Amino acid sequence: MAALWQYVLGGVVDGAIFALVAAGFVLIYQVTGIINFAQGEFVMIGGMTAAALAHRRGMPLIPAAAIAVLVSAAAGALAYLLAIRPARNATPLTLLFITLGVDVALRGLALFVWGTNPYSLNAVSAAATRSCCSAARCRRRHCGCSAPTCWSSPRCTCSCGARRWARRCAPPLRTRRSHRRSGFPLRTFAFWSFVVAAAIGGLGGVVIAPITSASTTWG
Amino acid sequence: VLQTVVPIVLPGARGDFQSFFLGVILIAMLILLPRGLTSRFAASGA
Repeated sequence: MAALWQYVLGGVVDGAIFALVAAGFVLIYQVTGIINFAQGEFVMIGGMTAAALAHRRGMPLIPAAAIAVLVSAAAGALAYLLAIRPARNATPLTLLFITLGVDVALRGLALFVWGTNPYSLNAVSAAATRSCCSAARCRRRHCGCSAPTCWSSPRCTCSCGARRWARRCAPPLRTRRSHRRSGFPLRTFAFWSFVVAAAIGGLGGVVIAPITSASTTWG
Repeated sequence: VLQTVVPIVLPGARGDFQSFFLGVILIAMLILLPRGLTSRFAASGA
């Protein structure tokens, strides 16, 4: 019976992580109409930043996680401003390949900064681990990770609400002419969709990092 | 070329850092030549 709960809890954790990463995909697609292949790299940047700050600099986990989310959001902003925005008049296929280029460039930059060695990140807190393990006997590192994942579930609901809002307010780029006529700031929404999606991805990376060692091949 | 030049300019470079430059080149080409390499020739021929 204990093994069953362990599997159930592990499945919930994995599903919540996938939902968190998918929320970033959906947010960008609903606002801009672009399938962002670089979303996985935002997850990797979040996980690697948190693990590198906590592992190498000895920083406490919560500030390291906050900085990691900010770094991921900054990476999303730069990806939009430097790669997507200059090609805003290109076809959707070209924009899709540009996101592939962003993916390759971010992975290369991560290898440049952190190298090929994986970094480990400890569990969130002993209290979270104890409360979690009272429900199911499972590994400490896995349980420590489930606390922010449980926290992220309402966030995922919020992002789904934002997705509905974005669908209502900002249809994809194929209708941008009508928005240009109506004076709707579509570029501003596209910019913030990249920033928020990258921040969500970075949070996902911080959540995943205690389960498996953070590595630059995550993306 | 990248494997030779980059470690001279940036001695701290680690891993397969060349992919960063390849990604940047890919993005620049798609921004500057969104219809491909032959679009310039087609335009000049017409």
